Amino acid sequence: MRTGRRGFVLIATTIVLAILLGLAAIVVDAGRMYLIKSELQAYTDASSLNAALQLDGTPTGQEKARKAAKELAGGDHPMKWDMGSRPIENVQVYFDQPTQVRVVVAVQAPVIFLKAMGAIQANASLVSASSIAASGPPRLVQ
Amino acid sequence: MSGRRGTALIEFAGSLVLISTLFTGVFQLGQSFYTYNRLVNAVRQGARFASLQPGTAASTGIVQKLIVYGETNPAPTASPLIAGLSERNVQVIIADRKATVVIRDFILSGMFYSPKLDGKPSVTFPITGAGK
Repeated sequence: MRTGRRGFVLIATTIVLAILLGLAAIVVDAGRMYLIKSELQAYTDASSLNAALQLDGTPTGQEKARKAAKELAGGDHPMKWDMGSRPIENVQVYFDQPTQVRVVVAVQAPVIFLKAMGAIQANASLVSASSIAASGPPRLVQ
Repeated sequence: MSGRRGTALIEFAGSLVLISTLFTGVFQLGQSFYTYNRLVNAVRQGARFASLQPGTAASTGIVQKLIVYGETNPAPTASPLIAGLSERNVQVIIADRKATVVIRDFILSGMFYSPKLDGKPSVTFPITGAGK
């Protein structure tokens, strides 16, 4: 009887712990992913503008733009991700139009709980941000 | 009979301590992420605002006010959007045709973990203001 009661508390605690772990998965990992998304979006916004300023319609301008798109990840005050702890790498730069630049950054968020629970596939923790900027007089970009 | 009930109560108390600690920890971590997220967005907004001023015309004081209070001309009684943030936590650098905003010496307060943010978050925008 004694051991039976003790078992009940153990089981109840285990169930509550499992629920809490699920909650932790949502709060901690999803929260972290949203945070990373914000950081990456701030980066691509700034980076695409920095790149667009270099565009002049020539291939040389595009080369300069490619370099400029990566510039803000370095220097004295680099923009970073994961609460400002990891450097931004793999900056992808596309020129969909001659005077337009699209900057894309994608990272694998370092999730812990979601992975531990086996709830997600390998690339479900992919977080990406993308921004488009154009050079020339102001106009609406679709 | 009453002895058994007491044992269960003690065990329950033990597990309650464990569970409430975990719960508080998770809550605090979520709170930290949320606050940091708001900081990133405030800093991004401030840096973009500064970058829209021509040349080096952006006023450090105005950018700091925008980041801390969410407006460039806050009432004297305004309270900061993020608890504990003040204008001296916000560094604005206008140089080399770039506007950078960096958070300095800000403590992201939590119950178990209070990291000091110095140098992050940091956002840099190129100056796109007219008349550069």
